[in-house]
Amino acid sequence: MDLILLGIQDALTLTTLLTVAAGVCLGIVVGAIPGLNAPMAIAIAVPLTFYMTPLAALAFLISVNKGGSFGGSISGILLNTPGSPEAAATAIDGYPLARKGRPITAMQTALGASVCGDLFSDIVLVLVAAPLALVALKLGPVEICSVVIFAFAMISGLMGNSLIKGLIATALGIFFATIGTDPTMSMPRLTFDNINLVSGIPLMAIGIGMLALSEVLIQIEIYLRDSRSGAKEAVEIQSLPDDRLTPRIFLAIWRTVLRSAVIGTFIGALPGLGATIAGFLGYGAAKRASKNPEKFGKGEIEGVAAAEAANSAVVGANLIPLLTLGIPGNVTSALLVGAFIIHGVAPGPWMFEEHGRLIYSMFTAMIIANFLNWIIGGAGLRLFAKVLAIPKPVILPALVFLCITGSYLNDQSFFAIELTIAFAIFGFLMRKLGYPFVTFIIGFVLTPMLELSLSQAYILMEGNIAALVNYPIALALVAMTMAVIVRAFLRGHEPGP
Amino acid sequence: MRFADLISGPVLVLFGFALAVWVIPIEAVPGDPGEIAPAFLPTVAAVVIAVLAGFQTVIAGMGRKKTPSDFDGSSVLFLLASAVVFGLVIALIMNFGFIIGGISSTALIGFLMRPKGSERWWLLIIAVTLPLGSYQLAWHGLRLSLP
Repeated sequence: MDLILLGIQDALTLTTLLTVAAGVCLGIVVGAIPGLNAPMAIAIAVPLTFYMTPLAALAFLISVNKGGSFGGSISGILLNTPGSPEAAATAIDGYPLARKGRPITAMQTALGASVCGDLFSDIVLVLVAAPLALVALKLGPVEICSVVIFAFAMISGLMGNSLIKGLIATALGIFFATIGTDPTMSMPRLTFDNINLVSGIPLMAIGIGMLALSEVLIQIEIYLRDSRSGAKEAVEIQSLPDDRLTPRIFLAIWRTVLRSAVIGTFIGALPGLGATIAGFLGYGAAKRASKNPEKFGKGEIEGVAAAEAANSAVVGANLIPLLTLGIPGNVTSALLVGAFIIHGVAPGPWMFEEHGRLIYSMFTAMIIANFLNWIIGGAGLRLFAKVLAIPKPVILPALVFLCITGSYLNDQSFFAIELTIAFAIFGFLMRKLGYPFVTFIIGFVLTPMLELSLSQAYILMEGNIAALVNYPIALALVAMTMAVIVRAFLRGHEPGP
Repeated sequence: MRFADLISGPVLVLFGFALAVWVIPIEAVPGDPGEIAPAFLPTVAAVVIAVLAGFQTVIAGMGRKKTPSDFDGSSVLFLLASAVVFGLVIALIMNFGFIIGGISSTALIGFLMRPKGSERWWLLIIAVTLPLGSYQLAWHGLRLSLP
């Protein structure tokens, strides 16, 4: 109880509040610009948090994610071009509502639903994380190894268009993670006599390169292709009409918001399923439950709220597998692993024992971030809408410079810049060829845990795979892994989220 | 994606095979008995890459339907051009530092995107202020000196 109170006290400082507010603003702005998203901003921002306290750094990065979750809906509503993929479902009804002359109502509905969904999932996280972590602490190396392998199979099967490509991307991530010093014998491995590689490939070079810089490359290519073909890209944000969402209208759809929040939280807690699928599931559930389903797609407020509450509820719930098992469920969590490690904190169930005060202060900061998201988003709605008008030839070169500076600050070496650019090109190719780069990053992040638990399990089981029968949890996880793979193969290669 | 799969599959088969047979045995020391060798995990990853990429090539080869892919010749050209521009950017920053290198590389990339009208002025303003601002932020905020 003392830890909880101390944590709350730590979070209620002016520095933390300002950091959270800055993170929310950055997240909304980045999320609002089509093509840019919160994970990209987090990747670039991680090096900026080096000199922050662990709490301020984590609160800042999580706030960027929360702001970005709502920010993506702004361009979806005003331009029918979602700022981020998860806002695609929001645009289905948000854009028609804006075309009906009610853009502010649509954005305020999205904001209210986003904050409610996010707050709900944060509360669930606070309530379930500690008990689940207690259970997870009882897991030994054999079980941990099985959990990681199960996570690989699940994430590979759910992300992207094909299980094979997902598994190849994971294997590539594992391979690149093994470059550096071997953890068991402390010998250089796959370093090619390059001293810069002895400590391994920095996660931030991969994060900035594959998430941010490769996305910038994609956006530049799209811009150049559109300008060659004469497609009009110019965005004109006219003065927005003075319509307003009344509390009565919003309260009338509380059931829809709650239903979507539950769906989003459930989806978020499962590794591999993302905010995009949550948004569409929430939207679909609201349409099925509605008395007037024919109104959906034509500017129905419930549709906006359902999609936005569901995709935002993923944000908090995504931390459940990270904090209870040390397994990042999506790319944002994978980047947060990097931030945790930079600040000397190994994410996983042991955090509740070793850094309990930090955990509870982080939870408090997350809840504060929701309220600040609501206040800042509401107050600056018209201002944030104006960022949509920033021309691509101005914003994209600036982002290239920020990516390069961020990667240099991370490692203070030009080698880090070269690695970042190499991974940007690699990430561009992966995206173009249909390999899910998210599974690559998660494979990379989880490999140290896999290798350590694997070597410990090998010693425990004396190299005898048949000894697995003495570990029923691990055996069940292996069976589930096989089931996930077989099911994915039998279902064929259906498009994923 | 069939075309993309037919290209990437064999490349990955060769990549995985070369890693498993040639690179890893040279670059990773053999382990002690009773322990997992340092070469174990990278070898498993390389074999998985080669085998699955082989499957992918076979599936793509047998597939009749062409599914849409946005990977084509223009993407390859764009990627090559990007690699050249990035090479220039690194050379500029390494030789002239983050301020001059940053200003010139931001302006270079921006002007390659052919901005129109007032966009050019905005680009110039950002190209100058962003590297200067970042330099000051790194020095005063993070106590780090950018070259």
